[in-house]
Amino acid sequence: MVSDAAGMAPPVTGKAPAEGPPKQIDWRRLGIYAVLFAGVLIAVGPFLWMISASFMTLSEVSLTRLLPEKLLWENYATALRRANFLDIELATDPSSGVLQSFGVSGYIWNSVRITLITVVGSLLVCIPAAYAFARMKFIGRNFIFALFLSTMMIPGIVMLIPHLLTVIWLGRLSESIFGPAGAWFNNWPALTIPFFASVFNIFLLRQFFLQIPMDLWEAARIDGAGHPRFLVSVVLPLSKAPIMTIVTLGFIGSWNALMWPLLVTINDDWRPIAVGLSNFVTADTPGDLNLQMAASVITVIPILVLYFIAQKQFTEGIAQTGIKS
Amino acid sequence: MLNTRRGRILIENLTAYLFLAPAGCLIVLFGLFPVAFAFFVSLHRWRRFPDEYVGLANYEKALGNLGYILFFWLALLGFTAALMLSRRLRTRLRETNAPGQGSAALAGVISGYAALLVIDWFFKLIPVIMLIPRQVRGRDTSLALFMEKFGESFVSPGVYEAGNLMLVGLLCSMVVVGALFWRFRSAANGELVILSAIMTTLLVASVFLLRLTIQETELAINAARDEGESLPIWSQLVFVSAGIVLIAFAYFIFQRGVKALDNRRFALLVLGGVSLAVGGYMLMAEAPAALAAADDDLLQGFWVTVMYASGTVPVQLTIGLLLAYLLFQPIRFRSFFRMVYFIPYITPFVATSIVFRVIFDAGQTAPANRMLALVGIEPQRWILERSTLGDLLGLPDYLAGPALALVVIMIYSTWTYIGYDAVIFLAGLGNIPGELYEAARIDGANGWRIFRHITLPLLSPTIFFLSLVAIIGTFQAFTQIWILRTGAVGNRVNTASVYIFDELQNSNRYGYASSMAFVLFALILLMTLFQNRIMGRRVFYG
Amino acid sequence: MRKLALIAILLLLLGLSLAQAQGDIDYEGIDPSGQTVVYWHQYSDDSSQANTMTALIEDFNANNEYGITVEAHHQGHYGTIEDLMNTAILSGELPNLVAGYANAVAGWANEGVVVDINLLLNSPAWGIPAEEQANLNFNLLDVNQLDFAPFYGMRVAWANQNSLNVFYTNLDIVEALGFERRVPETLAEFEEIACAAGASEDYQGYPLDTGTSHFESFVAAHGGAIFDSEAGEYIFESDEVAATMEMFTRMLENGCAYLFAERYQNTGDFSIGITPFAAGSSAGIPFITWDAAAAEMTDEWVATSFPGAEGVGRTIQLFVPSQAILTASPEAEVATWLFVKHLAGSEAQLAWSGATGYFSIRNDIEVTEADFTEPRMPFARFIEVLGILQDGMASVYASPGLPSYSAVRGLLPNTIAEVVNGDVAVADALAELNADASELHEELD
Repeated sequence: MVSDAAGMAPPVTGKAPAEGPPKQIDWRRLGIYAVLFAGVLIAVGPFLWMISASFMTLSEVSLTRLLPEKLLWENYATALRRANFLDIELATDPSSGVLQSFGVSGYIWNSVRITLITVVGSLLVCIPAAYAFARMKFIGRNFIFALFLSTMMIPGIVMLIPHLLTVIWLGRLSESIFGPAGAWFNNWPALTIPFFASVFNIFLLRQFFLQIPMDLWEAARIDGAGHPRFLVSVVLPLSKAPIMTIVTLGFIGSWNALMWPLLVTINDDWRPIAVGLSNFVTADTPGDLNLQMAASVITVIPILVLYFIAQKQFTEGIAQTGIKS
Repeated sequence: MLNTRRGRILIENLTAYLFLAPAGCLIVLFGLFPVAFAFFVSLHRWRRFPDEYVGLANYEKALGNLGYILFFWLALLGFTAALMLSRRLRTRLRETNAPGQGSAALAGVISGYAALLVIDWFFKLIPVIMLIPRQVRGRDTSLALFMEKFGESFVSPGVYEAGNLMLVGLLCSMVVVGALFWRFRSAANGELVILSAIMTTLLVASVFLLRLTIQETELAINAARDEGESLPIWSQLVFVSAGIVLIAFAYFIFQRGVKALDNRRFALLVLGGVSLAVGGYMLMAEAPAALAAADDDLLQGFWVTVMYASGTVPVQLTIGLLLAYLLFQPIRFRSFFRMVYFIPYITPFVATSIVFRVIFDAGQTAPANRMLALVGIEPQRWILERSTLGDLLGLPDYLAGPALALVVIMIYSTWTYIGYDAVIFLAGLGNIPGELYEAARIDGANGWRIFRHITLPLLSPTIFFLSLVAIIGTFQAFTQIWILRTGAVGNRVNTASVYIFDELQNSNRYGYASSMAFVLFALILLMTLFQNRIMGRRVFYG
Repeated sequence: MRKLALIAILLLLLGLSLAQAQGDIDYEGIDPSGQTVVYWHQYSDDSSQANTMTALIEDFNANNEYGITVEAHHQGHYGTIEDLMNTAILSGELPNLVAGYANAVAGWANEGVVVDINLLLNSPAWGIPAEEQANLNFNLLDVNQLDFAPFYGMRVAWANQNSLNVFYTNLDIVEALGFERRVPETLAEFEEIACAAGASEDYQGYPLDTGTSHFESFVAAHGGAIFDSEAGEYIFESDEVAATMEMFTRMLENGCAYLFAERYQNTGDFSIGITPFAAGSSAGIPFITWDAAAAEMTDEWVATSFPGAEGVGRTIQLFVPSQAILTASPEAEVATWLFVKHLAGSEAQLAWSGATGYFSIRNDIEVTEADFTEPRMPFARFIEVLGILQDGMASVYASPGLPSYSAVRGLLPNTIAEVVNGDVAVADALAELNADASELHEELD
């Protein structure tokens, strides 16, 4: 689609050749670089200091030094000990050294799990709905779509208590059917299911599906395909871009989620990273700022690593949201 | 039979509903039900558990007399919508002359009524279910016990009768609709059924609202009279409404006036000016009186929200656009820059806010203060500063502006979102065909003119989208403020959302908090519609 | 008006169920065997509190004769626990034991989910016999005994981590500023020294926040309170509260005090020796000691009661975070009580007090240097703080244990902020605060 060109497009302004000979200092260009580098400094400055402060002693942090005198790695050890960010247990057989069991736990792992479930669930729920809005004719389509869209304007606070009620009683219902594993509270359903039907995602996908040429559908129908088969075999393979967007937004959202997870988790089984960090920072004992910085770095690292690996998909995924809406 | 056209339409409809079902169920549960529930709660005194029904008292507490006025408008809005639907229905009936239309409309009315019965039953059931935890106190709270009580609540007095009524209603509606389709088998009739069902629901709901509002208003006026005071709600209703209608009229006239021919233009502009002046005067005179008994903290919350939105959205969009524009020039490391700018957006608020608290700390050694010292300005108290910018600069009161602490939060919020905006703008720029630039350059246009007359108009859909998202976002803004606020600035940084959450958390007055949240919702909805109308018109879709 | 009728029926049902719940529960002949007790606390992982509590729980789980198991969960700070309790009350699935201050617990008791500990304490089968009760310090325990409506003598919680809001003085700084080397005796003296510190090059004035606790300590130091328990009303318009507000405003205006935002920043600044005074919980002493050592701050400092206004003696505010037993089956309630009783035993109290520096709720034990295991706090400090309470020189103040107090705590910071910033006159601000607080009192209590 057009948007694939986003930002990566070859320069189209064609300004450069019109400028003077290359030997002269190009002030305009220099200005652009100056502004852009200032932007870089502002964007990552806080992170650089966060990393620097995470290695400082408490008094260095209190005086807001720029760099630590020496790197205090034990800050990380202390932070990791005080809060259950990530715990990997490897049990090997003492005689043969073969790996017997492998267990991961901790807030980071929880956030990863929550993100994956949310994203997959959201795709499963939103794709058919978006397809129906985009490509099918049915009674009440516009009305239902408008109704869906209007829920985007609801402020989060309105939802808090009713969501709790819903989760409490649906959880009990499901628990009495599926047993303890079906519990919603302090378990993945309460943390993920309310976010499956994202109207924003439906909207995004619908806009994308609308652009798929009608000829494809005609061709598929001549081949005898119905809507479900057309969706799976033609539409989905074409929709990598918006799906990537949803994955990206899902990641950012889950990693940031604070208030709701705080209310529906009562132990570390499923408590996500933002709640863990928030509890660490606001503990009722004096928390040391340098340790808080170390803890922050620990929480930021996974998402940054992920971002550096998939940064093209991340930014292009986001860029998708602005197109043709 | 399924191979006929009608059969195909039926299949298409069923498939579509099947596709929609999962999302629909979830949105009803986690989107629409909460709104209806919040409205229900807001009519009660409600602390954790339902207490007594108090009518519009919570709205009066939040907005003073304007609370009542708001409900009159809401009822009026309902009637208007119902009226518009009925007109559409009538034209439909007149245009097509398919068989069974009259029956379809009737079936719709019955279905609409059945929907109301379902709602009625539901909101009788909910309080009973909510109270179950109270009944099981002092007992072993096992799942079985809860489920037993859950089952019992469906047959509890009041709920049972409403449930039966609802079942009868649903049955009637299903029979009538089923018979209709069996007899006529037409999709056009389906739309008629839905139209008239919605119209019925709206109409009855509006009647209910209007009756409630009139009752409550009379009650309030009588209560005030008993205390020897007068409560001029009626006159305020008339004046405030007239004021708003006149201002809307003035806007409409100006729109016309600008396009009109010269001789009419002057008359129109004068008319618009007069109605603007009269309407404005009415509002200025009556609105403060109507709001006299309102919750000051809530009004302050709205004001803070407005300042927060107007301080972040334009700045954020401008800088984002600037960065995107620069990135779009033929430069190296473009993807590096883009990647870096995006980092603040993807990192968790909790982590980055800690750093911002340090940067904008009140101490002498705080980075922000060190920077000020470089240019010879005294250190500021930043996140601890309750005084407004106007106070600090010695400006008169009406130029007070936001508290410095709020400015810090705005900076934080802007810092977070610039990368996001830049990336989307960059994509928008990429979509503008290069030939347009070429053509403009051949015509001798310079950089600024190209930007002004080609880039900006072609980018307007993106700007519209981003500003819509940003404004909705700022009106719902919560976390950024929640984690950056300090006790020392008090309510000067509390947006409406934050204030409502405080009310919920500290005093557990769910009823009152819900009424305020509902007002906020209405405001956001109104603003979105407004923005859609005003800005949407200027968007150039090429 | 069917809705009204419905609500009336609901209220009737509710009244019936409440009456049923509050009727005397017979705890005799109950068998608490094999119960599981869920305990929500706020001790951050790896703190000495958490480690000691874990050890005490393990001991109880291994040795109690009924096979009761206590399951402890760390739930963040008190605010988080209150949020979670809101959810738990809505869902009806409550923990058995939960940490909280009297006012929060009173709010929960209002919803009928808190067990009156008196019933268990005085139960013939499970309680503590009268002669044994004589060894308990009821001055501390009675902070949770709510004698006003609608509680009427209910003991809503059990004191657990008792500490004092102490007044810290750095004697070396006081002397360096040219004053006599001692703790200020009156508020006027305190203000004078703080002003001198604020004016000096090397030091800062008094670190002030807009929080409720320190404000109340200073109101008490003026000889007042924020709530009149006899009249049953908030008294923010009293002269003592106004005097406190004026003192705060004056000190900030004259540079004798500075505002801080980060929690514990005041004791942090005190521990690195840049301010002569600070106010804070005595539970913070280990952290001050630790931070002072890390910053190589060698000044001599003491923790004392608060200096008073003219004609008012010394005062001290008591912090009594407690544990509330929540309603469950009688078996579970008894099992929870047995754990609480275990914690109240001499051995457990000695271990708890010795490891954390909190005061014991028993009169008959004495923490010796050998028992004292908190590594970051010198034993002498513990004795010093204990002395404040035991010498009887200071009158003791405690915050009102009212459900509305939680909400009022949310209002007060804004009032303090607007007053010290000079946005409103003291009298107007306090009149408005009092009106709001009274409304909350009427509605919530």
